[in-house]
Amino acid sequence: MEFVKRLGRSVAVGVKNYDWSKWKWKNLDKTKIGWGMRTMFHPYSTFETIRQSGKGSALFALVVFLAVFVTDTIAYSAEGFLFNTNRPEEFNIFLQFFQSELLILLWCVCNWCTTTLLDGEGKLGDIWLFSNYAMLPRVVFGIPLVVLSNVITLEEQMFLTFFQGALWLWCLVILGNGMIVFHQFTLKKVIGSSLLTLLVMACVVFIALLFVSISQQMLQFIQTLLRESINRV
Amino acid sequence: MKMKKTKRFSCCLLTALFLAAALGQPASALYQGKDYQYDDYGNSIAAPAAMSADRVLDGTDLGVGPLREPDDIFIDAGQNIYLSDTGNDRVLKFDKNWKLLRQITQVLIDGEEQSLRSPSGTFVDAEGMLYLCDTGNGRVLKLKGDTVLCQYTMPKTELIDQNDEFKPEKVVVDTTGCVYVVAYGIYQGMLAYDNDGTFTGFFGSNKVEPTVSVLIELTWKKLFTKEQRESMTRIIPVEYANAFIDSKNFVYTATPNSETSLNEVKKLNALGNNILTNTSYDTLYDKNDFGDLENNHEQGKKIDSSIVDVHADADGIITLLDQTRGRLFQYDGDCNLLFVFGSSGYQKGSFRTPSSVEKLDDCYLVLDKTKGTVTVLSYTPYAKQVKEAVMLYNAGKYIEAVSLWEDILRENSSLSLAYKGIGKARLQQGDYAQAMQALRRGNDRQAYSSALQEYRKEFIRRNSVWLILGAAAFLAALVFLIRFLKVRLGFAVKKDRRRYQ
Repeated sequence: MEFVKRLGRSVAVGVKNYDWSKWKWKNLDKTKIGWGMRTMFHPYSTFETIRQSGKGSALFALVVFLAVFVTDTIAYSAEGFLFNTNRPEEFNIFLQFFQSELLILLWCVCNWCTTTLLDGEGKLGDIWLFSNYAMLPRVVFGIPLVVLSNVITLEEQMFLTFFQGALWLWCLVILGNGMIVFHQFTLKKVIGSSLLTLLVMACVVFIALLFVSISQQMLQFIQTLLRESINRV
Repeated sequence: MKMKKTKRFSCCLLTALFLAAALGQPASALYQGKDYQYDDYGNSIAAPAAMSADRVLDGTDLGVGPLREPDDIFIDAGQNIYLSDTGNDRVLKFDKNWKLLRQITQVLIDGEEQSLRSPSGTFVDAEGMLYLCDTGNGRVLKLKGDTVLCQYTMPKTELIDQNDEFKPEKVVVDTTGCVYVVAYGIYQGMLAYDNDGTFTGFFGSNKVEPTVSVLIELTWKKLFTKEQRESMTRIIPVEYANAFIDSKNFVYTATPNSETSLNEVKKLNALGNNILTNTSYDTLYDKNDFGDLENNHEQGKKIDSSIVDVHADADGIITLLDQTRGRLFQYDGDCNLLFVFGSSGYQKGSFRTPSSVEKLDDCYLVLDKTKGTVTVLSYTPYAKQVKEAVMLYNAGKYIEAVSLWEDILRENSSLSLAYKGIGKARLQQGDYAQAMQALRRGNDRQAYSSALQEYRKEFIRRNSVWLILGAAAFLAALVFLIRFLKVRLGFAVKKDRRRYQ
């Protein structure tokens, strides 16, 4: 009880003394948004500038992170009927969130693990930054593509696939540039560490699935045990 | 003190994770209502009743004594009904009013009278010759009256173990006189004979379904020695249960045990190739999955439809008989599911072990092995409407069918075929917006694409001025926005260029 009171008091003091005004819109450095957008068109030089003069914004990265989720949710229902077999009644917001975001989160963590071991210079904050900046093309041009999918016919489907593929390729190019600049890797090392990161991601997913399956079995075992003991005693 | 806090916290976190992982169990349910249909996603939804049982005739009603394990029913061109009363070793012939015409228990072979034993499938060709599967005696007989003209026996081929019993169960004959026999245990397909009795080969075998277990077996077999391979189980295709031949010599086959639940019915051409493929681009479940699409598992085994008989009528409507749940599935020639009828049980309209289905005039006859009865089913008015509309739809007469489809939709608002019909009619008439709306509900993407193309052309033609102005305004706004952000708000302007000299 004493512990709870002390905890509550320290939290209240912390909240009061924190400089909340630095999160107000007028106090934010809005040029950082511009630098983020410039990343799309001049990735290498912009990332160098960000690295040297600190023009990167983790908050903007978070906004892009959430925007990916929003774009995917909009695409789920608004994509043209010809290419959309999703059923609105089966939309699961948690599943959609994980589908959109888990890749990026997992990539950040596994890349950090891998590149630290490969003597990369990027910190977790830097990796978060350039991974989310790399998703910018998807966010900016995702909605126009959804609008496009509503007005093209099946014969023109190749255009849609082309643009979607080109968008993903663009994202990969920005990501590659980010890795080169922030970890100071050569291109060969970038490709090698990316593959290694993918491997680590697969391992993490495998272990998570294993954990889930074993927990389910353990719970079933406990359930059976309890049921038996209740029925026999 | 600090250590204890982190330990407590990590314990709580682990418990929360564990519970979250363990309690995430999926739930599923099978539709429990009476009449149903499948929507485009393969889920069962309610539907109006398609058939009703008119009457149930058993042996005593027909005046022949109780039927025992009757296996097959056949109706020839003259509307005579041939019923194989397998358990009583006889074949009964009735006319279409169920008056007994003939009872076949013995046949004359080379002047000698021999009894039938467990006769199974029957077939009557265009000349009136009766082909009978004398399963107990391991032969198929071609009869004219009571005399046997020809016998079709176990083929002498290395592919069949000659020590096995030959149990022919069903027979069909095409217009050229070729005899196709479905025999129990012959997995290589149907046996094809010339009319004079010579074995010409196998016809239309099933293909081995590449399930995961089959593929794993194959990889193991590549690594093992010959002796090890011989002691392993062989991978062979599934056998047929029944066959039906139509007036154009296409053979329809029924496969009862399909591991992957696909191709339970096949329509084979003269080369033995299956031409019954669901060409619809919009079937959002496995194509060629006939029978029940939803299955449940009991004690690790999948309970799926086992199709024991197939019938195709003159309009191309294919009827399948499912023994697992006592159901009839009816499809049109393009594999669109029209109706599902029947249930398992002892009531009128329920079946215990249905073994055969045939069509007499406008009624369907279903033979029940366990109950020893023939159930006469007829279409409900709703079903008659649907059939008529489907006939018009398949003939391409979309506009004539519109009012029919609208009536049908009033009774069954989730029949996507109806929306497709209305959509295509509107497309033909040139009403593109309405067509798109209807085709969207009917899940028809090909036709929707055509409608969209035409609608787009019209739209651009009508609004070309506004579109051009709008595009110009949009581009101008975009340019101004970017310049504003760069100049006024200082977005991404590189001030310090001296560094790069």
